Amino acid sequence: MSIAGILKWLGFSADALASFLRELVDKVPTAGPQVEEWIVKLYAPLSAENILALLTQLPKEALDIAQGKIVPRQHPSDGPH
Amino acid sequence: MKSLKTHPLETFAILFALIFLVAVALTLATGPANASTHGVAAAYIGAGPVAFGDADPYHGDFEPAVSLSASLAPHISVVGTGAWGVCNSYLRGSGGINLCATDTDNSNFSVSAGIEYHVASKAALRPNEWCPGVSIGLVPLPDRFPRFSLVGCGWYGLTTNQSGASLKGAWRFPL
Repeated sequence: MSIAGILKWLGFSADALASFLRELVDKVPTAGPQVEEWIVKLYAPLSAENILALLTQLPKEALDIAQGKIVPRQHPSDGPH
Repeated sequence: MKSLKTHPLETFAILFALIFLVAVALTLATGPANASTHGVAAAYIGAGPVAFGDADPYHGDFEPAVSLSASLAPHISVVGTGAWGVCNSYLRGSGGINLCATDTDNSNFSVSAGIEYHVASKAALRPNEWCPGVSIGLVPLPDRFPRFSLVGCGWYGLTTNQSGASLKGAWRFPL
């Protein structure tokens, strides 16, 4: 199962999304490599192992925070919502 | 299932959620947390359009916004945003936790899922409620403008069952 497959199940076209993303590259050419990476991930099969790994990682990080161990990262998605 | 195909806001939110799943499944870093050169806290100033659910009288607006974030762990951040609706003259705020699945190969791109409490100054955007959501951020020009990012966010109100979405360009100020 891939993200493209999930989109198809919901009634959306992954091909249309990929085309839209490629149109963005025409406006911002330097974003081309990142957009192509996104499109590859769109059709790649999902890995349950990585999802499980994230779920096991989060409690460890929560414990670290509780113990005062702060390990920051820069996340653009932490910007204004 | 509701008619998601024709509701653009829910489409937006679902697409963001699916992109988050992709990022989690394919780019998760499970190795030991490394010391980061980035500070814990950052402030952002940004602006962009926002869209609300069909049941909201304000279907959309344009919002200048400020936000604060604190990255506490590689995958856990605390975030908060305050925005002003230019057309409808409202204040909207949100705050909560983001669980981040940052692409370890590209620190200029991240996808997060989390939950925030949304508040608003006008009754048209109430009741205040908890909203799970997903967000995606990209620094499109990291060499020339490393502090400029694009942030897209979709959320779903647990009380109103209404979705919303925003897209903002923002400038980051490390604290």
